[in-house]
Amino acid sequence: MLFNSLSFLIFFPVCLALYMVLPAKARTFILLAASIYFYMCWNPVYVLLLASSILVTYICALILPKCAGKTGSRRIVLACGLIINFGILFVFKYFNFFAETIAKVTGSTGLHLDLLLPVGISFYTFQAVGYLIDVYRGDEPEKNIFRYALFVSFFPQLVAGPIERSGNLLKQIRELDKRPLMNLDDFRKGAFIMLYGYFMKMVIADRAAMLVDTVYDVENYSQYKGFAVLLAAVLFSVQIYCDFAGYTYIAIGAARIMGFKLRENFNTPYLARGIRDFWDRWHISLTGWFRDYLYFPLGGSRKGRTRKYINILIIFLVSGLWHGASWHFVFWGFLHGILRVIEEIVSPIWNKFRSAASDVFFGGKEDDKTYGALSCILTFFIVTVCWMFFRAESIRQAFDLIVNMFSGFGLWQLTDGSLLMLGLDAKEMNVLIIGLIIMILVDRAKHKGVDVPAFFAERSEIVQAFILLIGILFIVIFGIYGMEYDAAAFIYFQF
Amino acid sequence: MKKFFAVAVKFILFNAVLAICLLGATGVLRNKEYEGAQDMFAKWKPEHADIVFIGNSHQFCTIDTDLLYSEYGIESFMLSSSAQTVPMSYYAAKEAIELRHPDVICFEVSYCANDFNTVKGMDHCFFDGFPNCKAKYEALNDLIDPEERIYFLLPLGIFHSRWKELTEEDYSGFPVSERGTYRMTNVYVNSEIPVVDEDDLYPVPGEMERYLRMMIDLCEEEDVKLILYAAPFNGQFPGEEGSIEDLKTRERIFNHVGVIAKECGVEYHNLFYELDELGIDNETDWADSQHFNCLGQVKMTRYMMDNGYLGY
Repeated sequence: MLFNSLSFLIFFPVCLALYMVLPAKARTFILLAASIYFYMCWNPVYVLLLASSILVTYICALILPKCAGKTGSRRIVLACGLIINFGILFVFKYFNFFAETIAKVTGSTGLHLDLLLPVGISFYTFQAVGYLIDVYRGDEPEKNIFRYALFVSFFPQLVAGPIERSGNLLKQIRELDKRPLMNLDDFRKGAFIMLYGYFMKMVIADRAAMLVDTVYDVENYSQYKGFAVLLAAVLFSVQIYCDFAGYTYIAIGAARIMGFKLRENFNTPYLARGIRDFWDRWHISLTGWFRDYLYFPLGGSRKGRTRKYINILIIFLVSGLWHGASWHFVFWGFLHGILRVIEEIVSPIWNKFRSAASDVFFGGKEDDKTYGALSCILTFFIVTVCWMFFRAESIRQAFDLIVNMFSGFGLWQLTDGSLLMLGLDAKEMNVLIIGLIIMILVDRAKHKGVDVPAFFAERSEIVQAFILLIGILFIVIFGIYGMEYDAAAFIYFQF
Repeated sequence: MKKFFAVAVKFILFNAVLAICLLGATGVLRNKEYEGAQDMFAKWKPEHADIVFIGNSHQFCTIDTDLLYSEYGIESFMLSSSAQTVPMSYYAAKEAIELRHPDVICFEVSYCANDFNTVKGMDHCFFDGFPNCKAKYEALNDLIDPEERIYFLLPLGIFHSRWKELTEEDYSGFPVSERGTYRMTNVYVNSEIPVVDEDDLYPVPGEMERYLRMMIDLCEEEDVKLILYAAPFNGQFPGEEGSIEDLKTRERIFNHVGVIAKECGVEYHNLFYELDELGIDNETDWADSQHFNCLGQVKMTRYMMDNGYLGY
């Protein structure tokens, strides 16, 4: 059940109505039942995998406090939980990838499992494992299995995050019975957040995808050069942001309407002034997970510079693999890792040079806005080139496209109308540009610290209703959906 | 409690305004070019119709209902849409009886020669203008795949992307008369229509025959006189190469319709055999190879009325 499908537009109000009408004590069960139904809409059998993940981590977490003082036993329990969870993830997501790789290297036939990738398996596995590690580190385990099951399977964030922590979501689930029937302020903010999420996904991301899919088409990509490839690369950066952030906003908004506050997952990532800054703003919940549960245990930056760089590389390689069982994802992660290491090495030297240059040329009063803008543009360009490896079907295709992008530049491409023959005509392009302007304005406001949903929720009720109406109509008319259109799954569902 | 009701009222009000806006958007965005006069039938003033004309574009390009009223005083309505198949026409007949109970239903049979239930994409021409009545939901259940039905109840899912091609007509309405007559004004020089022997038969495709017989039974049960006729045409569908053999096969099927009509005691006029009497001028009276323009339409209407082919 996709957020941008009619079934969700029926499912969510029904779920919300039941949540509000039935007694407070039943809320956990209603949301749990709704979450299970939501997941079963994709593949009923795979709910067993979700249930296994929940049961294993629940039981392990209950055993851990009973082994207090016995380090060996505690480690064994934790290892059991991790092995079973990551084992399921490995079999369903990575087995074929590794088997094929080994087969290629050894020249053997190799083994292939005919399995469908369960939707959102990487997200809920990481959430459940994160909880288990938190308990191992001393957090109180949740004794009520229904509450814990809801924590792992809460439908708004089940299939594509944000990857929640027990300290945030589980805490709110524990207080579910005591919450008032409805908080109007939350309802309004949630509605605006959801609306913006739909806008990002249906008006911008899926429209940008029309051009991106044309240029990245495996059969025909070699014919596109110069600006055509550049435009597709830039639009893929836009698409993946609007797709994933759009999903997250719908998830956060839907949860907010029901009174839950989920974690932020994006903080204006394309306004980042460097790769590290980018990763502090992009998929924040995953970055945080890797930092807390992998980077720090590996030693982080405490064990010397070389080890730190190796740790960074490991984190990004694993991050690449997390995104997909394919070498181009691994390469994408590796590229980001290398860039992060280079940034770590160069930053101190660059900062000294910048300070000296500022003293010489600007009398110590550097124009931070211009420098910031240039940093943003450079970071966006680097990230965009990296995204090409993410979007391409293979590393080879990405390299070919990069070569094409730099080899076939011609200014006539800007005037001969060829850019409007890549899947987006002039009218569609105009709508996309309007969408992008709105997105940039919202990101800019957020960057300056404005709470955009709160800004709208604080207006008079008439103004709020008017904005909601215009927003809904805009999405209904200019959104990409309908019978002839395969309701596009969110890109991050595949992870 | 008071606060709860205030919130509930605002919520209902908001949704009502939203529904009105969405209905308005649907009205503007839906493809009027295909709909003909379907949606006007429910709003049509007369409570009783002398004749209701049912069929596809061949039907609405052959008969001028306004002329029937102005020259003969016959109150009739053109309940036909582009690519309206025989099953659809059966449900249109049901709708006509349910809403106006006419004395005569006149059905143009050219789609009896088409071996399919719906033309993909063109089924909206029929359903989107179809007034909400029992017959519409029966037709939806019968003719449309379950997963696609939602787009017939909420057609904005199909037509929202028409914002790119809106014209003045989308705001002012499609130019059909109050009795559903649509007039084509362009001129096409048509060639001579080849005609097969009257005894030369080819079976009506199974599903088409089944619905044709259902229509005959329906009219008999409801005590409505049913008149069948085949309007002449030439060539293939626009954009396709003309095929004489294909046309001849269709004519043989129209001959077989005559056999079915005779068997059921229904009046049938195959106008392919009255080409000389019709007085159609191939230089001036066609809009394309298959449809009459307004000049041909007037000639055809007068001919059928003057010869008593319309039951009056």
